[in-house]
Amino acid sequence: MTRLRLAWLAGAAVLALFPLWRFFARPLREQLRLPLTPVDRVDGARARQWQFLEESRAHVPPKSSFTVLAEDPDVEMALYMMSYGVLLDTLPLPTRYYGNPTAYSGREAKYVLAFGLPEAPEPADRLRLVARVAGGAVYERKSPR
Amino acid sequence: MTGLIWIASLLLTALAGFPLVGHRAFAGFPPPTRLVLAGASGAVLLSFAMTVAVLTGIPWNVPWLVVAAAVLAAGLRLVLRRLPVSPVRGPSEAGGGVIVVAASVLSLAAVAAALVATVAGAATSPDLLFFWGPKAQQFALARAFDAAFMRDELHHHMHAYYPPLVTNLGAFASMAAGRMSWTGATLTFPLLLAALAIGLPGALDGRLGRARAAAVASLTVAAIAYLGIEADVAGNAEMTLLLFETLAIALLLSETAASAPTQLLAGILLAGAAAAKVEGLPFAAAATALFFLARPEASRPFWPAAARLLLPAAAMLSAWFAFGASRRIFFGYSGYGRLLDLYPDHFGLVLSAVGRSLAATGHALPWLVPLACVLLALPLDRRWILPIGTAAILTAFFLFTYIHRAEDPSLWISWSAPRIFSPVAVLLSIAASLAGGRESRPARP
Repeated sequence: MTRLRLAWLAGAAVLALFPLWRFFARPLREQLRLPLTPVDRVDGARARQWQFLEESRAHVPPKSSFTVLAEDPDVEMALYMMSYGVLLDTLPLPTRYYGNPTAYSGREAKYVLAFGLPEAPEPADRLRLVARVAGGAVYERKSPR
Repeated sequence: MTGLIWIASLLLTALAGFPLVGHRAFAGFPPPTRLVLAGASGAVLLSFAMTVAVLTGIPWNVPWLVVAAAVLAAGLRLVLRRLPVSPVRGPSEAGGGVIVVAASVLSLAAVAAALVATVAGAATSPDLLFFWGPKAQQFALARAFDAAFMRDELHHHMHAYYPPLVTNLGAFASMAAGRMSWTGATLTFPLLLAALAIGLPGALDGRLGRARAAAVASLTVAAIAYLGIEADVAGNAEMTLLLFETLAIALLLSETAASAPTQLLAGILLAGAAAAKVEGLPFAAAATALFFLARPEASRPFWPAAARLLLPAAAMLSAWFAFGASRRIFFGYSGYGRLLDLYPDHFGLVLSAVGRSLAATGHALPWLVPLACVLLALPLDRRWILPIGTAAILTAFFLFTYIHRAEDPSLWISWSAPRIFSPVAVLLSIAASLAGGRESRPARP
């Protein structure tokens, strides 16, 4: 009887203390820094994408449409999916959906959120730079199709 | 502040469930356990009320939804009046103080670890950001399931057919707080884990006695905490599912499992599991079927017991599928191909990918430690059929699902296996308390 109780408690101790040990094994200053995004310590790349969308939000007026562009189609899809949560009261229009080009929707967007692209994604006569933000830039289309 | 209001609003579910769990049939459970059972059953009834409101064209409204759920709970209380109420054994005698204190400290440490990881942004589920959160936010704005939003082919990634309970609770909290709170949503992980730490010992107490119930509960809570941190479950549906599943299994293994009220409450919790995630349905079906095998003496007469255990889930899912079909959005759960279009040559690949994935989740300790406790407790009494059998059926179901893909499923398994196999860790933890004969409950003075 006692053996089983001790086994349960020992098991609980192992399982409860492992994550705490992992927490204290890293520099405390780093551990106590408040996160900027919900996924700071889960996935640094995802955190930068979320941060990019949050910073872009101020430059996309309510009710307007936008599309997100990135070199990697998986990153572009992730940004599109997360944009519903961050840019409330706007209309996200994907240029690619799971890597497949969409018929029109992305090209119809008024704003372009370019993540990690070295240059403007379209010629200068069609895009106006609105702002540079962490991880990319926000552009306004002069005449969306 | 919004985050606090968001998360605190979920406590209203206890108010909704109280008319049911306040019934004298549940007086044998200690007050903290009754509070948690009221919250869990209230959440199920609240979600049902939200689904029915959409079906009947009534826009959601926070106070009225709580009232509607409480009225449902009161209606079920009336049903209880007609059911035979067995005398319920009260909480066991005091004693085993050192074990209880040690177990409580360990549960507290596990909840604290989950809280720290969540607040640090180290346990957040990407799925919260991809679809759980956006859907809840959209439904809160629409004050209903937004059919046009769900039907849009560019929202395929939102999984419109996923059962509604978790998004319903997220939408409810978002309406209460005035907007979606990502922090609040992630805090559901430590909050629901704390609820389990508070409620589970009392649900096991009648069968095991106070000290052993506390020890087994601490093992279960610690396994979920470690697993949840490693598998990044904060903000997704996993913790909600585990809360319902754990409490339901504890009730079905309890000394009062033969009583009609306990079966009805277990049925409501199984309905919560079925309405939280797709895999909650096979869990509910397996647990119900195996209850009749494991507890033949507690499950007679068969049909009334089956109705109490299954009808709540049937009602929840019928309402959901009625919504999907009436709006022509979905007509059932979307699969990964036709039922028997299998790729058996992938079986070895699937097994090794699952093994690697679990090994990468806390060195598989959340499964191995409870398994070791089960082996130490051998031989188990007949009730083992329920938790071990359910774990086996779930495992078979997941492997069957994984061999449905033509392409290599390794990547899919790497991010899904630790989460979907989490109920197996819980079932093993609870099975460890079923030592046959040697570990009978201490006699009451």
